Amino acid sequence: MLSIHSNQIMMEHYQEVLAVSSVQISVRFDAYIVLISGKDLQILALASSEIYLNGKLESIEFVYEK
Amino acid sequence: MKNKKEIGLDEWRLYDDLLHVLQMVKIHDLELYDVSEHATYTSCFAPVFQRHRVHSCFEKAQLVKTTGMLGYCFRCLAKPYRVVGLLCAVGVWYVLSHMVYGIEIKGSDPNCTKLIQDTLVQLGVTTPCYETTLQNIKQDLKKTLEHSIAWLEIEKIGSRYLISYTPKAFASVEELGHEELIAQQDGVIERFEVLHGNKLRKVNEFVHKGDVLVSNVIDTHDQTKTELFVKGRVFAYTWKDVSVTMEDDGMPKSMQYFDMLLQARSEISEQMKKDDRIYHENILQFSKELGKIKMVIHYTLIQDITTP
Repeated sequence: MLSIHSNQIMMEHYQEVLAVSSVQISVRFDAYIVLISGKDLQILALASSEIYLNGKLESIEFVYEK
Repeated sequence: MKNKKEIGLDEWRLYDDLLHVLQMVKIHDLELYDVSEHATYTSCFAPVFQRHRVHSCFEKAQLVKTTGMLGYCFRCLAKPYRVVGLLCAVGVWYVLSHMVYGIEIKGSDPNCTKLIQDTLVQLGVTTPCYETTLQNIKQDLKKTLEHSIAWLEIEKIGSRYLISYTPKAFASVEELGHEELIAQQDGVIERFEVLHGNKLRKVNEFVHKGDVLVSNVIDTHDQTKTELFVKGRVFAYTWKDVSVTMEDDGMPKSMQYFDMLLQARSEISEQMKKDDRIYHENILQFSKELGKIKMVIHYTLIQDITTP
């Protein structure tokens, strides 16, 4: 589940963080991968099932695996 | 996932790349805050209770500092003399909190209260003292005062003992006598308050000093005499004149009048017993002669004429 508020994103029930940089973060969920692009992306909090991100968000892309 | 830096978080330098750190978080169920990647390390904050797990997950983990209140406490406790001071404070607090500074005794009988106070002193329970087992004090008090106290309870409220008790009540057994009620002075009978005895006179009857008012003998139907117990009082109207004088001190006449009146009432009340009262007050004379003021008052009293 994604919650977006004022350049902050909360992602719950993720499976794996695939890639991290200050401009893009990709996170795998059950049925899809979320690609978050932006600037100065930073992980504010991280737990085994939640990620809380902050930064200048530009796009969020859902990639469904076949 | 609230950042708890004010309460206290460990700041870590993890010499691993960021992606690996994030994967380890998922695997080992860690909780990290403010994760950021630097040239050679990844910095993050983690709860203090995860310190051991972070060490076990990342071999090259370096604890930088602890933030917030917990960090302040840890830094304070890092100095031995502060630990000693803290232990001393806890010790003093513990000792003082177990001291007793006062004993309050609640009960209806002042004599019993005094008795309990004296007994506590004898038992060595004097304030200030270190608290002892209440059960022991209670047993000692009950054993010592078993003839005076029916119920006793002790409780500790704050830094004082509260002792509540109920004194033993004994019924007083009054022995009745056979003495007749005899008039001690002249009067007209106003009322009888007789529990036992044979009344020989009636209300409003004039009696003289020495007359038997209530007899200890009664005639039965078979012409025999039976002795009775006698108990009671007989009230009668009596009369007394009180004369008071005073120097003429130049005060207003009304003030002198009331001054002498009060003086006369004081005089007559000295001759009255329990339950006696003034029935009527009559000023016979209020005059001034040769610089002296004289007042004569006639009192009608209702008096117990049987009690000597």
